[in-house]
Amino acid sequence: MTPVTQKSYSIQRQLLNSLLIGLPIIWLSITLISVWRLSHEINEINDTQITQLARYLIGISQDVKLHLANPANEPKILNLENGLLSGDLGDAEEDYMGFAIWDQNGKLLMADKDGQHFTFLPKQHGFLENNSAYQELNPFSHSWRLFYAHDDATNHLIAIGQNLNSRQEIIYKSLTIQLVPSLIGVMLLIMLTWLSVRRGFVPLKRISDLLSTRSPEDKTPLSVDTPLEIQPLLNALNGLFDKVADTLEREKRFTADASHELRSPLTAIKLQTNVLQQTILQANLTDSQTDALLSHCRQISHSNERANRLVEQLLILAKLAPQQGLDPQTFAPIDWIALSNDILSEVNRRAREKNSQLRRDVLVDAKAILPLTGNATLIGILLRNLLDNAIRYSPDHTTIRLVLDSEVITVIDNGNGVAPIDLARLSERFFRPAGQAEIGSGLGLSIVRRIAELHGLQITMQNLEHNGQICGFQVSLFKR
Amino acid sequence: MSRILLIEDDATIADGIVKGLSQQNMMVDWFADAKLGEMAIHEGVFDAVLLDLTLPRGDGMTILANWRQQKIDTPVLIITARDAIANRVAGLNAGADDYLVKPFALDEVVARLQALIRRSQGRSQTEIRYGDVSYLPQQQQVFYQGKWVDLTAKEITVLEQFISYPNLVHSRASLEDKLYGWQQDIESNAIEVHIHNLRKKLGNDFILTRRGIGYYLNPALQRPE
Repeated sequence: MTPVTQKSYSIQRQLLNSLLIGLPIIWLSITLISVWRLSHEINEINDTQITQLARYLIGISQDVKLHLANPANEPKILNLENGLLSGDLGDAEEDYMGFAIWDQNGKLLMADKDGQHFTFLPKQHGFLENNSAYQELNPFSHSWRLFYAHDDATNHLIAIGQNLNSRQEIIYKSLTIQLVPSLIGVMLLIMLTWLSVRRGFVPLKRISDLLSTRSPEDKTPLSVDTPLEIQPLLNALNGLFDKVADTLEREKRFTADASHELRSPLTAIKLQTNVLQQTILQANLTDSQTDALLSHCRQISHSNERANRLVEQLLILAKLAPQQGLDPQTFAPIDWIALSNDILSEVNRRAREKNSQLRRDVLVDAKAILPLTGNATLIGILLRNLLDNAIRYSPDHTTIRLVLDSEVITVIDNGNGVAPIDLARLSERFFRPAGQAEIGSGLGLSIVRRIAELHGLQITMQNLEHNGQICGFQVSLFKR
Repeated sequence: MSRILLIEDDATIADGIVKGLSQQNMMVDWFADAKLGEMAIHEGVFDAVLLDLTLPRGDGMTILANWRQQKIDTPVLIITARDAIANRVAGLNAGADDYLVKPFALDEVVARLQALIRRSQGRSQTEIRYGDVSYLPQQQQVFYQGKWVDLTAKEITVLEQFISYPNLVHSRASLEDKLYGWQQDIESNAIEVHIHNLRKKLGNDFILTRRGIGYYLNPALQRPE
């Protein structure tokens, strides 16, 4: 049976692909969203700081007024570094902000190191969106975010600036902190998922292994530790096993029952024919009348015998039908001498009816004959069928030999052999070469083959030739 | 004339047995119903019983068991199916004396019944007579018209076959099988020669030939029993 081939897809590969594509995309999106949200938050904090600072400065600038009463004074540039402070500075950084204060005419009154470079923009209120003015002044500077405020009391212009780079640095750093771990996390997640799925599929492999060695009659349910998802499949399979085994059992029983049922009418025919024969013999008829009637009786018997044989063979076949081997408990070493004694005695009568002679040739020591462990009853049937065939299908006065050797068991007759075209088909069920006058069921050889198979034996059949003429037939039985 | 009790549910088989056995001087009482058959044994007139074990509902075994329990020891011949070995063994263990395998021929039934009856009447121990011939199995000696006859061992064996089953037609093949087994080479007319010699010694009309079937004892010589 060729398996159904579709465009096959692998669950594991599908999963892996989804994960390898999906997770990084998700990760990237999350990262981008985080960046965006983080920027927003940081801007918010910083802008708040700046405006806060502006308000402080407005408050302070009133006092600056005194110092600047003299317009000739230089602007006070404050060197405001963290070194001025003592104590725990926390995580504070340098070079973070700048400020500048101008009077209404644009004269710089006070600034810090960075703030002294700020542009005087009297008309500007609030945050400056365009930073190019400051950047032009100082080509080495970073970008600054500038905030302008007016002190109405003194008409001073106050500018607070923040080094944007710091902000970017913050964003950059906070992202890095979560980026790399989360990337590693994603990779680990993918690997973990893949391994879990792989492990989850192990029961399936175990099930398919168990199934491959199973026989059709086996009714024992599969019990494999399976995940819940596979349980329904397993249960369905076990249900199927039951059904298949039951079907086979029914089929076997049907053949057996049918054959069994046939026995009674066949027995009745046999008995009645016997009675008929006796009646004819005891009736006062002429010889020719008696002969004619008896001849008809014989034909009836003949056909009846054939039906009987068919029934017997059908019953044997029904018992052999199982695909699996035999119950090894019935196996025992075959005693070829004893067995052949029984079988030869059994078929002798039929041989004598054709004036044929049975012989047995034992070529080795009794114990050395084809060592075989098996079912004696079945081997007996095998031998009987072979000998029976040899007797039946050879002409009268044939010699039939059973040869027992260490490697091979042979049944040889010196009859007319089998036509070469029929030779190949001999083991087909119900096949009989055309024009066969003898009774036969056509099942004998298929039974022989089946029994041989069950015992690991091989059969060959061939005509024996001498000078181009067929002078006999030989069936050989040997171990595979 | 022997009386046989037959318990069999198949009418055609029963009819065949009844007619066939009557041709062999055996009178058959046939019961298709198991219960009636079981009770019929108490009439005490039967020489042997033919009991079909393939009766439905396993009645056959029950009947047999019941009889033996009641110490009824009439010889019982059970009818079994060929492959139902367990059945056969159980039947024999339950007290049957012999068995027949379906499908069976009439002469088998006759032969076995006669053997059973003879055994139960102890006749096989002493002497078997047919016409003017008397055979003593234990001494392996044959007498014709009162006088001892010198027969070869093979001739005695052939005679034994005939005289033990006087109502059967014996084929050449079956005689050869009984006499020689499969091992020996047989001249194709060996049996003919033996028959010829027996006729010479026991009377020409002792054994008759039925062409195409075999040899049989002359029924005209049979003493009424």
